[in-house]
Amino acid sequence: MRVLLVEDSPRLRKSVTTALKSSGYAVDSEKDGEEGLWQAQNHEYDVVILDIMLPGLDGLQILEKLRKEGNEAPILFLTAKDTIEDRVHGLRSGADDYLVKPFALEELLARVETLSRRKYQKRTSKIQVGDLELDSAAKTVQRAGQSIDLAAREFSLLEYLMLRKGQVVSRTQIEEHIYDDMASPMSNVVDSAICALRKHILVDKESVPLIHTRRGQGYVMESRQ
Amino acid sequence: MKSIRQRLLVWLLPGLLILWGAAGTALYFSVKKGLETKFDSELRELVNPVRFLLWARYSGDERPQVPGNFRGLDVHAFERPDSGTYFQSWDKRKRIEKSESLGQIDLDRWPSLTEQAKFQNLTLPNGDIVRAIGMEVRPPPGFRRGGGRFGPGPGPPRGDRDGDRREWFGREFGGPRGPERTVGGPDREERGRPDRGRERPEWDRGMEPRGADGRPRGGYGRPDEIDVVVARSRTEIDQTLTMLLGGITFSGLIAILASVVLVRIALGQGLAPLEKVGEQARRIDASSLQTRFPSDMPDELRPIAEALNGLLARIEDSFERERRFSSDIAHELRTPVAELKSMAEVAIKWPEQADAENYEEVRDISDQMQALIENLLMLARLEKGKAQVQLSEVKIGDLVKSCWQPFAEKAKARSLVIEFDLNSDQTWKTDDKLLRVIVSNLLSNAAEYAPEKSRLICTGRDQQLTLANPAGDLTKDDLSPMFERLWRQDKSRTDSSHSGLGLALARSCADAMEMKLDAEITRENQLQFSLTRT
Repeated sequence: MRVLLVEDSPRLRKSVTTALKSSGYAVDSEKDGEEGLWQAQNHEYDVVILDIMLPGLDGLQILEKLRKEGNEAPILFLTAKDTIEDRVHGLRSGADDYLVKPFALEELLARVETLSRRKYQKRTSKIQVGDLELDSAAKTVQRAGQSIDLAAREFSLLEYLMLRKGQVVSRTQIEEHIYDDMASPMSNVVDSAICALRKHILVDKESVPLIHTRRGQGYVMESRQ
Repeated sequence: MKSIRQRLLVWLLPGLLILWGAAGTALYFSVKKGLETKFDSELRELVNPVRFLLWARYSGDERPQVPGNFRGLDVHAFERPDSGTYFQSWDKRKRIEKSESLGQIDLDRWPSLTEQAKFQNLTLPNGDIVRAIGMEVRPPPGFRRGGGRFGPGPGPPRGDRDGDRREWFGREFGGPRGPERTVGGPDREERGRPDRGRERPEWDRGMEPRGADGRPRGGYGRPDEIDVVVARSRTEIDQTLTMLLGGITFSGLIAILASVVLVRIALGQGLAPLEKVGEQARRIDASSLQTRFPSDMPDELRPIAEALNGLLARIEDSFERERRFSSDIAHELRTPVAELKSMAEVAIKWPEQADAENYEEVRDISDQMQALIENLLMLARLEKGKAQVQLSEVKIGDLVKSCWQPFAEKAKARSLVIEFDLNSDQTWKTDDKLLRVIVSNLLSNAAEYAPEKSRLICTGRDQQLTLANPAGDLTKDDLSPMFERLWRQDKSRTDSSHSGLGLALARSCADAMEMKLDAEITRENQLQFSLTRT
């Protein structure tokens, strides 16, 4: 899952980025509105976290421009503006969620997770493909009753593939959603990650492969039994 | 007395009471005066028939013709004991004549009577309260002793004894002793008189003149001046006055009661708009400060309503500023608190992510929050006038340069150049600490917000210290609000190095030291702050 954070407070930006990355999200962070808008226009984010009071363009202006362009990325306002009028105005402007500073980090992560799930029309935190079950809230993966330990990014990759089960997911899409701008587009980081993930989800000899390669197209996750 | 209604009642009701009393008294006495004047006039009129009859008697005229101008007067009233009309006369020979209505009682002779009438109220021995006229009357020019009607008479009887007292008038005029002495016709003769047939005194018979038929005609002859007192009962006039007094008293009481009711109603009506204003004012609280009193008020209340509206506008403005300030303060604190909280939560959840840099950031955030709190407290103290100003001789040049030191590095990074035009020996007697707050804030703002690569000019004079730098995108509209608390030109900036309290604090410090801190944008588009000693 890829998240854009636009926040002018460097310390807050750093903390939230750390928390999101530690939770398996790919995070791009910007300190001013214009940079934030450019990022949102040029990448497909699963969630955009916007401060309202930003240098350059404010959060509401960014939201307005994105919605006008047809960008439907879930947007969460993270702001110190706490009045009812501010919240109502923000939500009515097209934001999907509104969180007032200071906030609990767990709550922010939960809301980001909910927003990212909503994008894929999932109401529960549990996703199942064959005998593989992933709980995005508990951050757990089980197969045939066995628990599988995954790194945050591997978990995120698996979650992304499971959310799009039956669909071909290209390498570019995976890069877009799992890796931030720090990842080199020329590297084979996606292939390596897929390879590693395949190994992790084979819990025994009877485990059937769930991640399939479509040559020249990408990967499909499905149970072919 | 706190109530206008009570105050007005206290003034109006006694006032009306006095007014009604004065009006009633004036009415009573004017009517009394009018009645007495009329009464006196009638009394004066009564003197004429008395005089006529006296002369008739003195001249021996037995059957005097009552002149036409007496017709309107009840001259026969002198005969009736209960008529309340009396007279008595005294001549210089102490002969006394009196009306039959007096009976056995006498009127007192008034001393020193002249032709000028005198009036008195008297109480007769019979209990009758009368008003009397007393005057001296003289015989008419044609009067002759014993000469019949106004003819020569037998001369006055001698002797001034009590026996001289004669009630001839009543007998002669009202009831004849003999047909020759009857005045008023046979019908008068037929009337029964208590003294009918009384013998006339000897002296009287001897002195009275005789007529052509040889019969005695009566009369004393020409008298000298005669003192006459004519009295008439006041009963009627006193009854009228008593009724009038009762009527005035009764109507006065009714008027007072009506006044009380009317005054209360009038006060209620008159004070209703005032109560309406009070009611409106009572309903105004902190949440309804936008309320204004209507302008369609009575003229007397309009200035009050306008003054209250002005006051409300000022209070609303003040409340709005306080609300904004509270909101701004909350906003100022939200971001550093959010920073601290998120850093702590990250460190708790992912300890491996925490490093020394995090703690340094926590310390920096704490320092900034502490600075914010101290600035707020200092501002509150200054605005309450509780800051203590400690005067000392301060070298301005040294102070300004030492204040610049913390910002020199930042200015250098932004390619700012500062020029000092200061006299190193120049001193001001002022508060060193407060002056440092002012100068530090001005220099800090200049270092932070002056356009990059610009020049700052700091000038010190005897009475003024100025700091100028290019205004950039500041406009004249920004000059006034920039001294408000937590004002920032760029509202979106939430970096906590500048809270927006600096200029408000600087101005409060200047006020505390009785200095003036102003900002202006010069023709050269320079933002210039001036600190002036007053």
